[in-house]
Formats: sequence, structure tokens, C-alpha cells
Amino acid sequence: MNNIFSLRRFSQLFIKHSQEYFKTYLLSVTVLLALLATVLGFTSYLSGGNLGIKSQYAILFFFIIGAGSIFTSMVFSDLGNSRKSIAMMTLPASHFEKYLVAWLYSFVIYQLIFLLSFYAVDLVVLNLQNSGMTGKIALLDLQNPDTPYGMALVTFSMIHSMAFLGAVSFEKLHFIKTASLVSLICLLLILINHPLATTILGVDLDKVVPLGEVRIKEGESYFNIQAQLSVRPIIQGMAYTFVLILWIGTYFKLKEKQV
Amino acid sequence: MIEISNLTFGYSKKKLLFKNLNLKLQMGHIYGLLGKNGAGKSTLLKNLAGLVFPQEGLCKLKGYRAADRLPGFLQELFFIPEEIYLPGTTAIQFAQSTGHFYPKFDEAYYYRMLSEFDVPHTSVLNKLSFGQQKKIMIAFGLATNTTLLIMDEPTNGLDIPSKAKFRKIIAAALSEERCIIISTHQIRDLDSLIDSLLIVHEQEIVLNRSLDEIAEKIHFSSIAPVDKETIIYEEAHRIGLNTMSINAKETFSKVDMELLFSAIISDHKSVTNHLN
Repeated sequence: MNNIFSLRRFSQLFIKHSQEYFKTYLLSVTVLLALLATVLGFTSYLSGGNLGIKSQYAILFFFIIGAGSIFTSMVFSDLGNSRKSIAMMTLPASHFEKYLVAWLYSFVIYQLIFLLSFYAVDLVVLNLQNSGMTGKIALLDLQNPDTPYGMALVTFSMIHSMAFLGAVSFEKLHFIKTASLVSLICLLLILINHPLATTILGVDLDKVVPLGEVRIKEGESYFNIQAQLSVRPIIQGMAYTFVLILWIGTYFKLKEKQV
Repeated sequence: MIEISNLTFGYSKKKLLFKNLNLKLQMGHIYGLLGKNGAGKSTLLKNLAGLVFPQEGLCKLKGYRAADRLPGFLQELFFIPEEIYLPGTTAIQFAQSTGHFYPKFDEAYYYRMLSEFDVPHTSVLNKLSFGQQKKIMIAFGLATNTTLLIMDEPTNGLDIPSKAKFRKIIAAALSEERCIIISTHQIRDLDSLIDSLLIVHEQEIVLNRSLDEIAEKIHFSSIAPVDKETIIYEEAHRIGLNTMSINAKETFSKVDMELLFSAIISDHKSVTNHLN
């Protein structure tokens, strides 16, 4: 018997999970649709029926990260409840299969459902907005270089990996605890970044953006130092390496989980 | 065979619940696990089920280390905790979605047990009373036909007729390929059900004997024996005296588990020395 992965066992686990959480997920999608309709509709109203591409992209960007981090934080919430965690841990499926079901739901299926919901609501709002206008506003195109999905994906992946690790590490209040910890780490990074960059470069720095850019002031002139475009794939690779490390960490945390 | 070797466990390193605990459990037996509150009965069961990890030593079932929680191990074990969780599905849907994880799951037997317990097949499980949920869990656990069936306080929440049915069903479910461990505070609920007794006390298993072996060595009586020197423990009650004495005459008496348990936890060395 394969004790690491069996497609049959994984399919059975996926179906069982889907059946048992169908109502919860359906309710979550309804809430998401309602929130998207409110925010997109209200933005369109405030802008006088001018919900532009940039606004659509900004709403998509912040919503996919915000809703995704909350949803991912709760994906292992059963482990914080001893009755549910015993049922989950003693079910004859491997750690990897249990992990994969949670990962698929929180990363892949979530994105698909989110994009479908977003476009469904966006289409309705744009149709309503465009009906009384002569110049029609187009639907957000995620393949356009100005509004790339890749940017949202890399950010969502990073947020997902942190929320995923937090979901398995904390027993309760997963989202709040993860968000607090991440905020604390970011604050520390910002605090140590300036003296660290000053020491490395050996000059007084005007502004330092962690992992981003530095601005040097010399007399009345300012010089911005940024990564070259050719280096961006390396930065993206580093971001995905970070994501991968946290995903692997989550797997081992799940394996070590006790009641 | 289920084996616990040199198990050391504690929720903190300073306060250990078990130290170098060794235990072998055989197939074809129903073990009653007794112990005082906080003695570690549930923790021992959790160690056996791989739900907590020992600081030292290991628990093994069919060659699998419990702490690894591999599917091969989990298919051979069904654990019914004191506080159970059932999803918001019906008993039929639950069997269809969960039964196939257990290769020896007997669906027809499961429905038969539900009928025996008078549990509706089509009600939503998490809307049922605690006692009804417990019966579903017991029926499902038995139908999985796993090598090891662990039950922590299974009779909590069961009404009196259900307790009698529980005893009957468990006794009938025992086979040579199966081992059942029942932990309880309600010793009377295990009456005429268990054949072996495990008592956990002061970080160790102080007794692991079959009731037949106990009855061979100790005579239980509610009348004091003529030879008072053979009495190893006595307990007064309203109308007389319950005694445990050395069974020199090899006469059979029914093991009074409550009395034996009281004897062991109050002055366990002399009783356990005699039994072991």
C-alpha cells in the first residue's frame, strides 16, 4: 500500500471534504458576491458611473488578497477543535493527501471561484454603468501589461503561504494571530532595513523601501536606486522560493500536529 | 498484537504522565482500562492512536508506529473519543463518504447496528442528541472491522436500555482478529463485557490481567472469610463487609472490579504484588 499518496484515496477525501463543507463554502461565495457587488457598485456610483480599468484592478487586487488570507487562515480550523481534529487525524488518508485537499481549496479553487465571482459582478456593474453612457468602459483584462494577473498572483501566493502556515500553527483566532505576527515581522524589517542599508552602502540614505529601492540625497539632488527590469525574474523567483518554503513548512507542521 | 515499549509521555517535560511504560495487548480480547481522574487513561489511548507523540518509546500496531499516522495504520484503528464529532450529513451519507476509507467496512452490518440502537438513518447527524451521535459512532466503529477499536467513555450519554444493547453488541462483535479497549469510569457498564483489566496508576500500568487470572488468585466476597489472615483488602458497606482474600481454596468468585480498583489505588503494592 502507498502510504504517501494514492489517487483513489485522495479523490475520496476530496469528495468527502466537498460534501461536508459544501454549505459553508456556498455561504462564503454568497458573502463574497455581496461584498464585491457592494464595493464595485459603490465605487462606480462614487465615480459617477466611471469605474475605470485601474479601479477594477485595484479592487480585484485587494479583494483577492484580503478574502484569500481570511479563507486560507480558516482552512485548518478543524485542528483547533479537539473533537474535529481527532476525526480528521484518524481518518485513513496520508498527511500529504489531507494537506493537498486544503491547498487545492485555498489556493487553486479559491482563485477560480474568486475570478468567476469578480467577473460576474464586474460585468453586471459595467453593464448597468454603461447603459446610460456613450463612451463605454471596458472590462478588466488581466493579460494587459498595465494590469497583470502575475503581480496579483505573486502577492496572493506570498500572503497565502503565510496564512496557510498560520492556519496550521495556531489553534484559534488564526487570521488575527497570523496578521499580527506578519505585521510585527514587517515592522521589524522596516526598522532594521534603514540602518542595514546605510551600513552596506556606506552613505546617508533618504528613503529605503524594504526589498524595493533606496533613495540617496547628495546636496540638492536625489538618486533612486532600483532593481533593473532584467533582475525582476530573480526577485519573483525569490518570492516563489519563500512561498515554497512556507508551503513545505505547513506540510511538516500538519504532520507533527497533536491533539 | 499492540505493543507499547518504554513509553515516556507528559504534556510538559517536568510533569510526566507515564515513565518507561510497557504493555502488550493481544487480539481476541476486550480490555477495560481503569484509572483515577488524571491518571492518563485518555492520554494512553491517544498515544495508541497516534494523536499525541511520546517523548520516548513507541506504540506499534501491525508493525506501524502510531505516531507516523500512516494510512496503513489508520485503516487498522478506529478511535471513539469521549467527545465526538459528526458532520452535517445523514448516517447513510456518512457511511458512503467515510466507509470506503476502511477496507473491511461492512455497510450492511452498520445499518443493522443503527436499527438495533434505534437510530434514524436519514436524520442529519449533528442535529441528533449526544447519545444518538454516540450510538452512530459506535455502530460505525464496529462496522469498520478494524484490528483495534478504542473507546473512551463510550457509555457516557447512553440511556439504560442503550447501555445494555451496547454490552450485547460489543460482546458479539469480538473476534480473534480484533482487540477492543474500553476506558471508563462507569465500571458497572463493563460488567460481563470485558475479559481483561488494565489499571493505570502513578505513571504505570499496575495491572494487566484477565478476569479469569484475577479470579484464580483472589476470592471476592461480601461475607468475611473464616481465615481473616487471608484478607488482603476489605471495604465496609451499609450492611456488611466486602472482602478480597487470597484464593487458597481455588474457589470461583465473580471479580468485583470496583473493589479491586479501590484496593489497587489505595494500597496497590500488596494487591498487585499478589496478582503479578
